[in-house]
Amino acid sequence: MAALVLGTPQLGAQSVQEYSGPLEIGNYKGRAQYAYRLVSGDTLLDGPFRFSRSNLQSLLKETDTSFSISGSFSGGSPQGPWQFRFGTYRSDSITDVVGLQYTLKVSGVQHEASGSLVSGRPDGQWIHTVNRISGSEVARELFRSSVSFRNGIPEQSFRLRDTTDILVGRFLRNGLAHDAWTVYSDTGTGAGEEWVFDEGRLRWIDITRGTSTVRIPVWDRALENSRVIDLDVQYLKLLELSASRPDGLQNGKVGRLLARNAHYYARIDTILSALGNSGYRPGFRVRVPWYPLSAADSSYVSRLRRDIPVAARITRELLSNAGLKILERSDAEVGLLLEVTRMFKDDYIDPSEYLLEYIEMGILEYIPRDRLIAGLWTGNPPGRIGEVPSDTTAAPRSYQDSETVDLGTPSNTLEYLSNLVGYARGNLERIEELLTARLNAERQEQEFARTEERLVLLIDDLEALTDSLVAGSTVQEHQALVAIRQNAENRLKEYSSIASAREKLAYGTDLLSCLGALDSLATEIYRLPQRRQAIREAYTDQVWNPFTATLMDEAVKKRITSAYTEVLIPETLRRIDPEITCEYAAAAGNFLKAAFQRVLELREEDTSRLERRLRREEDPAVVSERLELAFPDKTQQE
Amino acid sequence: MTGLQKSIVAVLALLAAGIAGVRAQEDVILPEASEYKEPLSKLWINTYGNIRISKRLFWDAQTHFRLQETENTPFFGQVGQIYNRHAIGYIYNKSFNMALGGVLRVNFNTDEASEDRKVVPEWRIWHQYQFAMPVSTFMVYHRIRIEHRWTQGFAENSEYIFRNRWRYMLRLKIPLNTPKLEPGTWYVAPESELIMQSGKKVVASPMEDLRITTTLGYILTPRLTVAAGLMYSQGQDLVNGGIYKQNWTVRCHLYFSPDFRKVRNKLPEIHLTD
Repeated sequence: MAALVLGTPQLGAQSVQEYSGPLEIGNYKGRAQYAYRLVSGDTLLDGPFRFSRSNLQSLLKETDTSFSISGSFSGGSPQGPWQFRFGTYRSDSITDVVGLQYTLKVSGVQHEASGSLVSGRPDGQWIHTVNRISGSEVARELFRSSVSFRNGIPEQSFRLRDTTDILVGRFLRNGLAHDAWTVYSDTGTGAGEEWVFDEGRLRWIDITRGTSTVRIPVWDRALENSRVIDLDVQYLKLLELSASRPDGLQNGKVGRLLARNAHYYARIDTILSALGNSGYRPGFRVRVPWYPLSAADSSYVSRLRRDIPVAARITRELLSNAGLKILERSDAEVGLLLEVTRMFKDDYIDPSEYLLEYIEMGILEYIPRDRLIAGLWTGNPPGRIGEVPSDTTAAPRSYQDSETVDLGTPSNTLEYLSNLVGYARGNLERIEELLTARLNAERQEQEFARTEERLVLLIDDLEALTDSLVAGSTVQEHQALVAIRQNAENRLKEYSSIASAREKLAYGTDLLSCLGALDSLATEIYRLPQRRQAIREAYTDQVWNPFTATLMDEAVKKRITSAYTEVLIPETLRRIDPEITCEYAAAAGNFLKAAFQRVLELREEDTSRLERRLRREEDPAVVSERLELAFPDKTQQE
Repeated sequence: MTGLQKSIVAVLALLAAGIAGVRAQEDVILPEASEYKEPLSKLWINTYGNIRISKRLFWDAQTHFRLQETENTPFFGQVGQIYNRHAIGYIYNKSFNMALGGVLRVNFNTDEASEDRKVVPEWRIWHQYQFAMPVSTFMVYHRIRIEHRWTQGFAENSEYIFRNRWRYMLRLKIPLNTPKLEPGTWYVAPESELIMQSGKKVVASPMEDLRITTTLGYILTPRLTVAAGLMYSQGQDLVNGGIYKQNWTVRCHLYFSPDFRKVRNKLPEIHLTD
């Protein structure tokens, strides 16, 4: 990763190179200066390192996220003193001129950390402070963490402090939590919390509210089997599940401070990991009981990891499907299946998803499974679904589940649970299939309805065109319109005689475009009188007749207009019969339209040569070609 | 129409002046009552060319073949005159145009008994002013034509005599089968023209001709029209104003008005100033 983002490495395999330029690590973009060596093609940072960013423009405009990191590397590992500063600042735009410099005061939050690293691991004292900055001065300390390390392992005591509480605790030399970790409240209300460890094992937690103290036992007895793990978010979750009174741990002060501390450590670790070897962690260690997974358990776990997400996806998709929601109201079968889906979601999948979360967190091994599973359900896990309660007064409907598989007796075991989730998944998949089919059928019906509605519209349109008489229309035009209508009706008859829904829909879809073409052709024919008139008007000049002393209309370029009215149009109409193909109909419609446009264009062009070539030409294909049109070939379309 | 009125007044004034100058000739005895000669029958075949040469100018080119009866053949027994009339015309607007030009008429001796020359030329300078006005569906035309005419007799060495002719014609063109005059229109054109003359030789015969015609025409295209009609005319004999000649003339007309100008020159000006 580091090799990728760092700038172009220079020559010299073993010699130290300097880089100065832009650098991007995750969300951090800025300018860097560092020294590095190339070792077998890899960039190995070696020597001082600086990386920072601040943007005045951004600060003046809104807020600026600045940072400044400095330290040094040795052979690819952070080594020696390091300093980190992250800030989010706003400027209140008050400037002062001090000497010959403008000063700008900023407000915001600043996180600073400093300490030493040995091979990427913290060593010596590390102090993190988070301060609220106001007018370029520290207004309040929001958080402070002080931990001593020896080669990455925390030692002696540490202090974490936020605005209300201070946590003080200590470690054994191996980093294990030991003795009492105590929270003192700054507010003086006497609210406190104490975690008592014994060589990493958390024995109990005392929570004090005023004068009363509640003790929550955790692992009070010596552990048979145990493991040492990091005190991290997973551990806090584990505590919640293992403590006898988990409610007392909600809003726990220790947990809050530890989590916050871990967050600041992770921020730095992210950057250092990208640059080289890093192990920048608080490294607080604790001991927890260990319930190893048997080989069978592992296979149940992998089945659960496979089945739960699938089942969860199906319930999510089915229950959020708008089409099904509508269908549910009118279709009892759909209603029943959705109700079953809801039952699976509430009673099977939602609880299982918690389990999946624990599996993914990796804490399954540290909790007794029966206890964990029992916590997912009130009582035992459910069995098979048989009856579905009706929300009305009607009798409950019965659901025929798909699996004949024996779930076994409901028990709080991974085995039963994996059977149960497998059962739920199988049923949900079947329900999904049924509902999808139902939905598709519904869609197809709607598509039919739409298609037929549009077919009827087109036929109506055609009939209207055939029935209405336009001034100036010819017998030939009327005959062509009747032929087109006949053609359309024949096709519609064929459509209605198709039995198979699939074929019918396919034919209907084709028919839609076919009737569209016939309708366009009919519309073109219907417009012919109007177009002839338009052409006549366009091709009429007003001429001065000196003998009558009047202006008279004179038809001009008659060879062109007669090519249109005497050849192209009649020849096109002559070819239209009830048997024409949809392709020919489309081509003829387009031709009529194009011919009209072309003839109108020719009015303004110099056509003397064209007019000569049109003389006595009656072949529509030749005439079309001379007019730069393509006369539709009926035989080829068929 | 004030221009039209002024023009008419001017022409009438000229006519009056001409009439005033007519005096009876001493060696001619006027009859007690006017005498009308037997009418002659004639056939005129006239072509009228009107060739546009610019936005406002045209070339008026007319050629007429005038036949008349012989003793044996009515209407077209012999050639009377061949008539070439040319002018340059100017279109002022749709309602008014004028023309100025010359005429060469070839007169044939139609007196079958005459021993004189068979053919003599006649020369004219002419100018005309034509007013056109639409009335209802038909057109009304007023045409004033003034000719300065040099003629001679068929006798050997006869001298040219000079006369002025004062002509006014009123003509209607009434479409029969269409609401206005347009290609495909059959129209009827009644017309009457009074031709007065003046000059030293014109003593008692100022009314040279009064022509009353009706024509039936057909407009083939705006550029081509054919028409035919029958004309009755009468007028005083130049020598003896008491004697009136009469004619029945069949007239055939071909009107053509080609426009050879390039399309791009025609386009912007085709509508004149309407």
